[in-house]
Amino acid sequence: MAEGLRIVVCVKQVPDLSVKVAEPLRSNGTINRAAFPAIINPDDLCALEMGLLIREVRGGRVKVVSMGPPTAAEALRDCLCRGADEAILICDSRFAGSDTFATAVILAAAMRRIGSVDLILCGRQTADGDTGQVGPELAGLLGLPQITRISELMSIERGHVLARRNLDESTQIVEAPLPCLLTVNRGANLPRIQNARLTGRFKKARAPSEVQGQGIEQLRQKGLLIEEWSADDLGIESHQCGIEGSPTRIAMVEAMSVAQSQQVEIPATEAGMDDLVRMLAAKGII
Amino acid sequence: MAINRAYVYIEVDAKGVRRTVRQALTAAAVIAPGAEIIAVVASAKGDADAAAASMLKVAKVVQADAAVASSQAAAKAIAQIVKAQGPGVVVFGNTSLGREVAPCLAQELGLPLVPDVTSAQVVGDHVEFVRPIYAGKAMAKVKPLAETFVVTTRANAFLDNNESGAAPVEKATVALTADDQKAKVVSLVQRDTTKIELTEADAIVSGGMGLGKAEGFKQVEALADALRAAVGASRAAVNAGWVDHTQQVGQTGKTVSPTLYVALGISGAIQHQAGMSSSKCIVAVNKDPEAPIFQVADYGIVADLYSVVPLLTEEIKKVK
Repeated sequence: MAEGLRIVVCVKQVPDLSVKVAEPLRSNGTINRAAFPAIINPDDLCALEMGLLIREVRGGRVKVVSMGPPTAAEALRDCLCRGADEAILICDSRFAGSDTFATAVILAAAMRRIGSVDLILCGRQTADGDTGQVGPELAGLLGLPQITRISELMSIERGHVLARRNLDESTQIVEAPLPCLLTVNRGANLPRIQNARLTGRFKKARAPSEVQGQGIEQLRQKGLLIEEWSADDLGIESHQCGIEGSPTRIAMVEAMSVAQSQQVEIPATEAGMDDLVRMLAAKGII
Repeated sequence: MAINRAYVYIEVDAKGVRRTVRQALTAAAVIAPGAEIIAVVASAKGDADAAAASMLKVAKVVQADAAVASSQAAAKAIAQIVKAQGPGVVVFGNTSLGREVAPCLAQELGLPLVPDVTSAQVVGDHVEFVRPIYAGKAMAKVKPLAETFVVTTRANAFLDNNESGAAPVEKATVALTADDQKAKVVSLVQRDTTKIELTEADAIVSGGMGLGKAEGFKQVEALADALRAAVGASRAAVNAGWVDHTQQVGQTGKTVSPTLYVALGISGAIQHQAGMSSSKCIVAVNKDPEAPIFQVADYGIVADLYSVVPLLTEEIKKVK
């Protein structure tokens, strides 16, 4: 592989719920997504970092792909500023409401359009939906072997990946031939921050829907165009995506821990501990 | 639209069928009342696992007759079994293996997947599930639209009330190709199985950076022994090398929902809360009254843990 590896990293923009905001909830009790700053899903950043580290050692190109609304271009710009070579926004109003299955179908079509790929990297799961499904479903649709939840990429040689993953009761070392798909655990590495030189250049990168289709040729000539693919570009029919293409429906979302139950404060004394133990015993907890 | 069959994916550990899987059997009966419950074995050690499964109270055990070496192969084998036996819901325990096989199977069968559910209820002709999202900060009610679907159930969300039985074992021919087993496990280090597995424990005592040093875990262990609880840890404590990664609770570690979770010297960042906020009762000890762990705690003790934990351990010993 003298020409290096062809690596694609899938990223998703998610709300950063660790930030305190004035109105975390909407009046109907659902999470007020717009109130939180948008970030790249933390696991996905580790996937990007893994891709960049592999490129540094083995050479090649790292493409980042994100499906989302036009604002998801911000996440792709962030990736370019951290060192990704190319960015593709998968964006179409018909994609809105897609569940993990429809998302995997759309991403699989994007991978086919990209062409030959050696390695697809995804985060283990997103910080909003917490499903961890898109990676495995994408691997299945593309007929690729996969290794999920990896904590360490041990080697990538002679057309094979060797990775370590931690399971409930064991640690496994798994080998898979290229091309394959890996999902990466947070903590697998420490993602790099934006590079000042790259940021100077790529802060001006734009996707067509961000500029209402204006000046696309100039952006392309300067290497600042974020590719954008629609359902038509990918040959995705309306019934395969969005709500229509999604077999699961979220009926409603209720906030839980934000609406706090009353906490009992226990004094740090022997009498306090005695009370605590009696309360726990009375409730059948111990 | 009654569901006639419910398949449950069997995982076996040193103690028999895993507790989370036994709880998934309970969930299967809730999701598909009156359905025939079929235990499905598709693993590397099929005969031994089928023997363990046959001691469950299920209609029958169906065992893939091929050795299954990867999650993708397991999904293909289960898909073939489901196609041969007839449509039904497929229920997995939300273990690290179940969490990997389930999406492969859902994709293979073209079915919706509802992962990591904490409750299920039949409402009219649909099943409504509840599952935590946003790292446990919110709960989503999810309704699969297809007649059959795949679901994984969070450990301890359902009771293990399976009685022992003597189920017949049926071998099913499955065709797996080399392509299905391309990802291979080349080495496996099993951890000490005499300890209580964290995700399956009724009570957990976890330690964090507030312990100050590795030896501080002796406090955690003493309280855990008194409670007959498993020992957990925050990511920071694992990164510091104080305890093994298999004990890590949180978004990058394990998700637990024991009856009692005691957090000692854990600040309780959202990543940690994601792994434990669905515990039924949370007791937190921390010097810092502003520590986020107190936002999810039912009982909070603002104190130096070295002064208060020995007192608590003694009081527990009196009642246990």
